[in-house]
Amino acid sequence: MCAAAVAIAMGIFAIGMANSPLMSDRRAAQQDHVRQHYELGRAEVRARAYWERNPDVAADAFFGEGGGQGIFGAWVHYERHGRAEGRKWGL
Amino acid sequence: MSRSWISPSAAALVFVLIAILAVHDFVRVRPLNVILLTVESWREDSVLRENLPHLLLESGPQGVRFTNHRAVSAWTAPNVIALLSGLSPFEQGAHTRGDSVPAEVDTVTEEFARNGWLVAGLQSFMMIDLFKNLGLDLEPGVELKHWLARRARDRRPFYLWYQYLGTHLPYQQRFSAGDDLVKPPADGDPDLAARVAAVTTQPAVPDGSIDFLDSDKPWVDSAYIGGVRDFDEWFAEFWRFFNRTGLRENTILVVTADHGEELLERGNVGHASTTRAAHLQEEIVRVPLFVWLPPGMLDVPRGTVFTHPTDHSMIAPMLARLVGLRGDGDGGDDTKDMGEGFPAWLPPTDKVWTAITSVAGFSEPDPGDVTKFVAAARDGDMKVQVQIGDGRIVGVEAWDLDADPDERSPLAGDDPRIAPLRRNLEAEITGMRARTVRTSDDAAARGDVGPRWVHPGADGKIRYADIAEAAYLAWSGDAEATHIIAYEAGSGLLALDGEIEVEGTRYDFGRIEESYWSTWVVPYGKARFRVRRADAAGRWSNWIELEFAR
Repeated sequence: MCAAAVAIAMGIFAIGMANSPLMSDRRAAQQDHVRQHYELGRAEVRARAYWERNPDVAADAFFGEGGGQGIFGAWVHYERHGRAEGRKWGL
Repeated sequence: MSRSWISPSAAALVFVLIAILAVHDFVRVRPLNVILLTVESWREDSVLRENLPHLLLESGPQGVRFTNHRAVSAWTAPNVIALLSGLSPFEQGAHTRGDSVPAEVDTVTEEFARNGWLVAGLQSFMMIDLFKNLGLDLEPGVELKHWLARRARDRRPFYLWYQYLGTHLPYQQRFSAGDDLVKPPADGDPDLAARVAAVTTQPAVPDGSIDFLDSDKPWVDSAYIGGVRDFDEWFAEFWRFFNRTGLRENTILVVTADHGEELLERGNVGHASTTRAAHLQEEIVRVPLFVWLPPGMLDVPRGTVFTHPTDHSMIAPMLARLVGLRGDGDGGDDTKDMGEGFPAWLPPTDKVWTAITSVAGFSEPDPGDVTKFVAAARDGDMKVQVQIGDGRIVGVEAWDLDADPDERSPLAGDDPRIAPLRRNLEAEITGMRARTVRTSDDAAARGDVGPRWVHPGADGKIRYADIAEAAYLAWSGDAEATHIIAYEAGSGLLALDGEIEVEGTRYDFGRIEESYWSTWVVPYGKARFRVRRADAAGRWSNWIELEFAR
């Protein structure tokens, strides 16, 4: 009886572990994406630096300062275009 | 107990505790989140692959779409209130600025809030009286994605209403090389230049202010469609975020419009609050509706398109059913004419659609004296629209939508199909909730002098840089008292006035985006404000006059 209970608990524990960010790449990626948008101060500093280096992006109605993506416009631009164009992200 | 047993016992205890937590986490049913995304002035007939490729080809096929969906009014507030509360615009008592749903009326969003959901709005315009008493917890100015990231971490269920504003007048024309959009002809005609300027620079084009020509329709359509295409780009990015953060796995996403938009079908561009000549023709009321449920929860094939009639009043009860706040049998008079096995959460199908709007919506010239309305009803292919003056019907028109989908040829007044819908509307109008516009001017005066302005302390010019960090008004007085701010903005055709009720001695507009400031505020040029205690009629502060600049 006891052994069965422990076995069930271990099974559920294993499922939980498999779905945790420690073991699941998908969960880890989700957590990373959440963190990127959670730490607003850091995101803002990096966005301002990116816009300063790339005034064409800063002036864009979609990706720029005051654009529809807000402070995350700079990162969205980098991910979708900037990286491939050889632009730099970070400080 | 011997010492040699302590370590294994402690380890076993820790293991059991972790296992209990794991089991608890595994069996716990997490409440679903809700995101209601309303797109400003979005017409159903704009939902084409060339305009919304992402929505129709990438995200849309993973949810369900309703192609016969209707708004219930001709301007934003009554439609959004219907979406959030489940109340029809006849039941709301909100017909222009300054009105609110009465506090004693229970709404579906308040039901969500009572049951633990954080019901939230993030945009500063949501602070106006019209959206009071809906259970909204406002955090004006907080970035949408940041707010959602916070929710993803704290795991409290939420219900978020977000309004995409970029499709409102003025239409931002963004032409790309090779696109199929029609640019306005540049032939030096000053009248044409004035018409183009009205549509592309003004947040409102009141009826009679511009004489449009039939030949203007192609470039007006294109200017509008440019905004819809921008929305598709915005939504594509939101969709990526929604999936990559995992929110898609436990969130219901509803995307619809507040209302549609007239693009010169009856001679105007806009809707009730901007034309000030409301109607409820199909271009105003037919709007898109898309619903995404978490994977595994959808009990119809992905990408299903439903063509049965639905409207905004059905969304709130549908969401309450989907998250388990209401059982399948709690939907009131829900019946469906679909076959067996039709999902229980879907809206009813045999309801007569009814709608009502004040003639100028938010921009009524005198919010204390709104007497003219337009109402409409539809059943099957039959549609009736009535003009209302002083509480009674003063004009009737009707169309057969099957034979005349553009509503160009009204039916004869003695058509026998008109009477039942007219009776339906008469019943709705008779039972319409009295407006709840404040009557605090009648309250007894109290206090000796009016408040004094603290911020800003004097008349002056305000640029975006001045309010980028914090936009607020502050005044002297009792911080516990309710105050009334009166405002008058713009001049001529863009004139607007009204009152805002505030608890305390500060009114915070929240964080205002630069694009919002340039598009929605600067065109009004100037505004002046004065304030008084709500219970001190006549004891106003002096007017403070502010000039808006980029």
